[in-house]
Amino acid sequence: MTIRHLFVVLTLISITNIIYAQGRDDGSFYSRYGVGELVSFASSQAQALGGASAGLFSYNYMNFSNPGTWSRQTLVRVAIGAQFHRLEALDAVGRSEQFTRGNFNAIQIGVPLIAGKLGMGVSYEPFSRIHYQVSTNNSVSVSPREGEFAYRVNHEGSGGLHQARIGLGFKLTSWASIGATADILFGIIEEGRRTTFERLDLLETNLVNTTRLFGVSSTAGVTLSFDSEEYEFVTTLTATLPTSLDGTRNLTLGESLNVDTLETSTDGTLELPTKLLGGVAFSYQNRWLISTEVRYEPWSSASTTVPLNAFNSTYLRDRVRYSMGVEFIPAGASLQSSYLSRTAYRLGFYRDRLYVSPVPGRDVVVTAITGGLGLPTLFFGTRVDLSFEIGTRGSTNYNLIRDRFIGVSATLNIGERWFVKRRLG
Amino acid sequence: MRSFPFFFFFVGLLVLTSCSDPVSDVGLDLLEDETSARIETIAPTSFSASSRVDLTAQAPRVLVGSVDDPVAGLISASGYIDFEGTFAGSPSEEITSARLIFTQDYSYGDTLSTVEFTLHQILSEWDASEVESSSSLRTSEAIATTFVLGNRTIIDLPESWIQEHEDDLKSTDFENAFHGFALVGSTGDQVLGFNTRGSTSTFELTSASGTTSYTVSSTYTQVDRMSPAQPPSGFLLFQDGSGPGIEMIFDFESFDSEPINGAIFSFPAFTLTDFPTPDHFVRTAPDSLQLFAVPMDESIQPFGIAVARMDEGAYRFASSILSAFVQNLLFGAQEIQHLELRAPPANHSLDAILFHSKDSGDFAPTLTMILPP
Repeated sequence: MTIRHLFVVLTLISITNIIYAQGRDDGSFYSRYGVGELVSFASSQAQALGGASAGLFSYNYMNFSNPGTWSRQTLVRVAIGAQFHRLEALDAVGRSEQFTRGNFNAIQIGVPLIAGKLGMGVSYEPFSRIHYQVSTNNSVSVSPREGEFAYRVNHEGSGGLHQARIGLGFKLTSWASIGATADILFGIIEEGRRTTFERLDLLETNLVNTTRLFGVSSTAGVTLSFDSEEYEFVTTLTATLPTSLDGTRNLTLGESLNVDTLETSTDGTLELPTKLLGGVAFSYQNRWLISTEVRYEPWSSASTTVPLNAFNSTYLRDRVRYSMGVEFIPAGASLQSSYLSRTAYRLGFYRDRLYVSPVPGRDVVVTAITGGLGLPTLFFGTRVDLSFEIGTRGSTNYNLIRDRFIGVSATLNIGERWFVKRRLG
Repeated sequence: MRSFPFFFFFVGLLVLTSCSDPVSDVGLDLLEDETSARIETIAPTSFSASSRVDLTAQAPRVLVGSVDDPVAGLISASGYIDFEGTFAGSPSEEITSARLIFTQDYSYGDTLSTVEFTLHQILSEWDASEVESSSSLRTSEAIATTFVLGNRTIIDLPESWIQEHEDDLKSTDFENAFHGFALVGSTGDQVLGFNTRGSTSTFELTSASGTTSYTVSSTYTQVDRMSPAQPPSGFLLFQDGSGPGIEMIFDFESFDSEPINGAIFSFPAFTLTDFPTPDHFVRTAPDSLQLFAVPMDESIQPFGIAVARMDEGAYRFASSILSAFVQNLLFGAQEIQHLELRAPPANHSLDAILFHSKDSGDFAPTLTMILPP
């Protein structure tokens, strides 16, 4: 890797952090619960296929949901993407609001250590996001003499967990590959409650719960592929070990007081459940690709001694996510066809039962359709992927909220040979 | 990596499209009780008369006279005044007259009673910053006796006294050579207050070259309670100058480490004018009171934390400084022995008021705390 390459990667990291920072506090209210809204980004290809990533086994994309696919690399790959999200939330009494935000998806780097045999993957991506703001105007009666005191309470949450991952994928046989990663989970969850009174003789309070979490996990995957000249059939299984995150929680009081720590910090542990991911993909003549995936995460067994909203068995649900997608490239593997023929056209859908619900016993389900384009560039191995998703999250039953969202994302997938030995002729 | 310029374009576009939206109220129903501020009202665990001696020095008023109040008891007051200035004439000029001029601005007691007081010379140096209302200063025999008639009182000093003290009065070191006058009440059922601000009270010397006016440099009122107060049952007397003051303790520990938005102290009061008093008897209530904190560490002086005016039958203390002070108490960042009600020195008087006791139900003194959701 040259200095220029390093410079580009570092610049991308800093820019994506700016994007991420700008996208705080203006998303779904459901992100208030548990550790926030879970996020996963296997690849930009998978994103447009409804997230059905498990079985994707490609030379053109690194599949970060399954390290068992990382053996199939011949180029150094860097993928970085960002997303633009628009959300319309409606609650049970008819209040609605629209939110817009931008955030980064991930930075992913794949390096072929032995081309087509052993590959390494490194990524940094969000694991969960908390980004909500809710406010209300209210009044309180202090006494008949004092009358009503008007005030405003602003609830806001931000932060989330991040995941840094490094791992290897190894081709065992012509039809079997395995891989494993070490995953570092870390992050800060901030939940604030700001109370402001109209009267000047009353103090503004800003109570902020800050929870810092850190833990290490591991993911292992196995990929079986059976192919001929015309087709390839891939089936995979990935498992992430239960993860124990060490947490520290501080409650602080800010603003107009000169004392700002209410309590000493509280230490605890957050136990995340096992994650199982299975998928099947079938490709035909390098033109057609069908991918399906099932994800299962038994969150009802999760527990915490660090207080988090609704993080207990009453509210936690077992997460089940189904997804499926289809990709069509008219030109197949041909590099001589027209631009439109070399473009990948993708369509998919998913259904995701969230791992936590604000109302006990009630599921919150996300359903969405996805799609996108994989645009070839003038540079061999490099593509720009555009994708979208349109869906709903939850319903207005049981005082819940229905989110309608539309997301548009763009990801740059750079593929180059970085480690070529120069030969004197 | 030839493609990175175009990548910067793409990322730049995303940066520009990233934005935030206004705050929403969607989801409030899921927050339940997390949106409502709470009100907690407590009564003091202790609310009693304090034995604190009032500081009456350097007030912009001196009191003189005595009054027998059927509620507050028998109280007498003597005023001490020192002057400063420079003699306007030459040292050889003879002082032909010396007079004291006082302007009355306060009255307590029987307004038909005529107040007679005697004028004495203070014989020794005194430091106004150290005297309390129970202190007495060494004085001479009476120099003159006068009646107070009307708002302006003029006392012409005897020629013999002028001749005896002429050197001191003309001295370039007048402040150290002369220590002022004492006004001691002798008859009458009324206490009067003389304003000592600016030139409202002066000491004038006349000589061949004109009049020299010395202005007040120090003041002090000695207040003696001759008989105890007899407040009605269920009430506590607060009286400026003579005392008693009020001290109280609240159980702040029951709110240990709680954040608060505000703290309001309320002290319902009963003005003494509501009680039967003799005809022409004037007794005013303090216009404003101060809430003082007495620190646990006795090396730290008590300090004022709020001021409140009488409003609709109660003194209510509410301010952001007071709220922050109470917040510090709840956090343990500050420790106090108790709180006190005091009268501001700027309004030095014998104003009196009755507070309802802590067991007076709806009229009891209270601390109301406003706590965030």
